Amino acid sequence: MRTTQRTPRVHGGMQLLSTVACWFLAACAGADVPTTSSPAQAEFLGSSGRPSPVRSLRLEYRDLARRAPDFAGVFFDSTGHLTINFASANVDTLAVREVMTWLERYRGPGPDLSTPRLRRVDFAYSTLDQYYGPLLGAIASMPFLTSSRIDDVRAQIVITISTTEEEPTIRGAAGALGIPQAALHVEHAPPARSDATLDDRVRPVYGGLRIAKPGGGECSLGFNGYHAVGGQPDPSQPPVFMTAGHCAGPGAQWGQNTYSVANHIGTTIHEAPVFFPPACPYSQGCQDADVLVVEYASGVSQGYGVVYKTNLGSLTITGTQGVSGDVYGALTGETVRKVGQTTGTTSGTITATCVDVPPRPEPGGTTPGTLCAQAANYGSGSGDSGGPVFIPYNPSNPYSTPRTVGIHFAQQGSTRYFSPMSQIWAAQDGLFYW
Amino acid sequence: MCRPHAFWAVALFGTLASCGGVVEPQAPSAVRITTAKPTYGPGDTVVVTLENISQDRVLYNACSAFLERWQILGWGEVMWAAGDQPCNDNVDALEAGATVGTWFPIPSTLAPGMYRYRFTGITNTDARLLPERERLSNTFSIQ
Repeated sequence: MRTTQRTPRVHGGMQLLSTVACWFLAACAGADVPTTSSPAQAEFLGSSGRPSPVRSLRLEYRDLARRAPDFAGVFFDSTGHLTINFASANVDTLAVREVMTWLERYRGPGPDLSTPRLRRVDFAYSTLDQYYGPLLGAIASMPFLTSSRIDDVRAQIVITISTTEEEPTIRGAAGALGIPQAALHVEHAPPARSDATLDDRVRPVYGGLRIAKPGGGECSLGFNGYHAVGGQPDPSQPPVFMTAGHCAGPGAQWGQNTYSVANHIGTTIHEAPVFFPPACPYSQGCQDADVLVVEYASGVSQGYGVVYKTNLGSLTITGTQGVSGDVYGALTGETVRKVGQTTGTTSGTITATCVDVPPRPEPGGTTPGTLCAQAANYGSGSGDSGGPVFIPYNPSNPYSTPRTVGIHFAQQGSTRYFSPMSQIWAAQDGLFYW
Repeated sequence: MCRPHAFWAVALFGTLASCGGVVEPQAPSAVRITTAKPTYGPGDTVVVTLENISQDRVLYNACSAFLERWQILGWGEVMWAAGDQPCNDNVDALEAGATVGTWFPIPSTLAPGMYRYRFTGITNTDARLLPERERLSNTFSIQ
């Protein structure tokens, strides 16, 4: 029996158009919004200037916010629980009904929609949306800007920058626009050493780097994350990272790049549970995902939602890329990238979804079967296991990219396999936030 | 029982080898890769041992290998050694003097002849691929 696949969180995927729909809102609701434009806006509108029949999630959100003004975001938390943010202590039941009606129309009805959890936040989506366009216009050309979004889990505008020194610049730009500082969250994603490769000892520790155990076994670092409490990241606990589960056993120590006391970065604290027939078709057992979680040792420089950037087929680090907060997954035909210590950055398309990958031989044993993996045709080599799979930032689609997609674990001929985020959440039972 | 075409394949291989044809690689100095038996039949499982005969740790993936067949003019790839079975993409360490075993299935459809395995993921600790001669198994026959 396959574990039910959890509905993907959608908070990052809902970051779509800003200013154009502000116009839309202004026209419909009389909102006082800026009227700046950018090339990115054009693709969301047809030649008539009206929204495309295929509506972006951002347009859906804006429409929803017009009908439910205190609406501030909706997402499934790490435990799979539907959560709706409202910027009001007294939520109108009609507003909740509007959101639920929209959800049923947008993604279809389901039992997971039956008991939404309401969460009070400080800023409504429509408010953040009004702030976001002008702020992005003010900071878009700043070289230290890594990514930006309206985060509907945090219910804040999240700006990722490459150096902490520039946070005052961002906050100053927001202040000049009259944007409350509480509406803004600035994340730090430092640039990489320009001459380093994914195989080298590199700090900060981000996705794609070479990691090794004391015995010498090696894999690639996937995504950095947090422990989760109630579906929310808990920064009070040590940060964590993910890699492929077959890379190590329980309690394994990890170093970056090779293992030594000086290179020690953390200890394995969680592995995907193994279950057996009749819940699994293979006598050797199954896992929902081929992943494990490592808790960082104190003092290791790292950062949430960042993957090292290289040119295609290259190991040389050219920078960083933000891949945070946009957990959605990928469908057959979509193009994804993988970063790993052996083959660097490779690109390919999803060729199949929900593939049950049978147990694989390994020295001294067998890796359990991996359920509902995704297949793709990007390149990989030995040592790339654990590497992050994602959809990179696309300038022509700035509000629905980048997206976290999964963790690479195996190959078979020209086919590559990764565990998608939905399976990873199932395997981790909401204990971690990615 | 040896089928006629298998006999000729083995005989030709032996002839070429004895005539100095380039069929056997230079002896390895880092990793010795040997099959448990010199001869297998279709449908058998080949047990392969990797032995680190160097003084240094090497890194390997025991699953990532191609099965090659001697085709008179040289060795040619026949199939991914693991066949339809996926391979994990991790790397394990093999300490100096240590050995590790792995296995590969032989499809029942495989033509008789001389074969060997070429591993694709054996490196030194700096992640540099070892020379090909260090990643080749002994030759063995399938009859």
